[in-house]
Amino acid sequence: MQPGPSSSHRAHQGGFTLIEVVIAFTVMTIILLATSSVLRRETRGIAELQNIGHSEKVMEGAFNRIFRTIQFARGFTPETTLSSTLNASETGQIALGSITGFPDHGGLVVDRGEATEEAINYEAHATVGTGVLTLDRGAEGTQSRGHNAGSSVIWSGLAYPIANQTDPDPSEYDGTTDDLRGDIYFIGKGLGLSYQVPVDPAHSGSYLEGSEPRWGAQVSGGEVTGAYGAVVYVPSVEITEADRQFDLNEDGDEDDTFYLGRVALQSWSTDPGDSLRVNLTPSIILQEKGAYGSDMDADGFEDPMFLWSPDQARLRLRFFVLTGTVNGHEVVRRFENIIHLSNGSAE
Amino acid sequence: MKTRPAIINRTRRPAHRAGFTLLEVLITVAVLMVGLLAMSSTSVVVNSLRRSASDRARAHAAVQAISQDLLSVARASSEDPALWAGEILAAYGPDGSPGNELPITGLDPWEGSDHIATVTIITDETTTDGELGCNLGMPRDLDGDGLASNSDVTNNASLLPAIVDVRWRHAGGEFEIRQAVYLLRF
Repeated sequence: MQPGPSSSHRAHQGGFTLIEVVIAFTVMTIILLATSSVLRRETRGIAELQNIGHSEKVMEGAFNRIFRTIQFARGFTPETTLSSTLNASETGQIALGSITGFPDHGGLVVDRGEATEEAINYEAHATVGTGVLTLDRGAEGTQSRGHNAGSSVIWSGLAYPIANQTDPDPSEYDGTTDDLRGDIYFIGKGLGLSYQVPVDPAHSGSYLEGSEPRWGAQVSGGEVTGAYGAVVYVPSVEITEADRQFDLNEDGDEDDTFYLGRVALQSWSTDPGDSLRVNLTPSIILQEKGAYGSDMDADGFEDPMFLWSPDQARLRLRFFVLTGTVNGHEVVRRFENIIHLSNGSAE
Repeated sequence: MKTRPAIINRTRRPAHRAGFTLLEVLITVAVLMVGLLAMSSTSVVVNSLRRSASDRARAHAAVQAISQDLLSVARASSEDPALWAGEILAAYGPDGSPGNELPITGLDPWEGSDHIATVTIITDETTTDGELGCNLGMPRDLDGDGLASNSDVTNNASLLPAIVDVRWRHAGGEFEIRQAVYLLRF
């Protein structure tokens, strides 16, 4: 008996059995899943690293811009006194001895270091007399209080070293910060620095008026003599450690609330229409809400963003930046530099 | 003769159906593993490159910060020629505070070193650029007497050249940035 043609054909073909095909598909599926998982993880990881790199570039750019803007500036130390009594209920105007160096909108600290210390935000300079208008009393967790004429007033952006750096009484300073040259006792919150730069509004080719620099700033309409500028921190978004499930300032808890904000150049003159604000960074800079200038990296030292030393014409910048996330963990990086203002400080 | 092909088929069939040998399977698995490992190490390489760029930026910032701080110290120091250089050295001299060797947060020092930044303030008019390893225009007059012969101008300097040197290590490599700063008495 000869074998039929069909059985001979099957024997020649060999092929795969069902079990072989199932095993092959299973193995292929496992390999494809593993490969796609690795690819997805790598793509996400690289994107996260690119975000961090981008944030770092942004901060380098911001430092360069600040340096170029203020390297020939003279810095101000905006301090003054109340020129009349301020009632606890007053929300219209504060009369000040001087508004030199105080930005056209911002914050004040009245009676710093006293039991009656109060933070007050204002929206404009007074158009008549010397003072500020449209008040938000009892800001930053303080209480609205009455203050006598002659009470001390400082711009809330200011932070500067106190004169006595050798074991001062705690009432003399707001914090201690670690610095290139050692620990520094300082006053203030460190949210900015106000300045003037030599200007040439008429494009005459000279920045001098007589033998002195012609002081002013770049405002919305160009350079204006007598205008002022400030590099400031502008809070914009509120975030909490609880929401992020991350201890942003490494203090051992997840209870704190922070602002994410930006650094901006702000300028103003006597003409409100000249007011200008230019953002230098996106909102990636961290500051603790209600505790500006506080310790951001749990090293036991306060971290004011702007520390101005008028006698040395030295501005120290220190920013804690939320640069991104890696594998679900927030990455906070410290950026720091020093700028010497070659025209010193204004008297 | 008619049955011969069937016999040949029977003897050859095991050879046709042999499937993969253990060696083939091992090579295939090894190639796949190498591919997967290569893919999974991409972010490690990218992170290393980012860290390298980040370290360099940090080093540049440190050089700039120290240079600017030297200018601030020079400005704040006494206008008295007898005291000016001494006050700068009291900050950034070898026995000063913070001294001439500084740590920089976030950077690793060179092998065998315990600091990142070094500040060298030149008080010897006769020293040469070759000795300093930096192009400062030395030897030169630093005390304004028209000569470059004073080996120590600490008590009467009007100009002090300084070198800021930042050295750090990353991924087995050692890197360095040097910058010259000229401090002028006001």
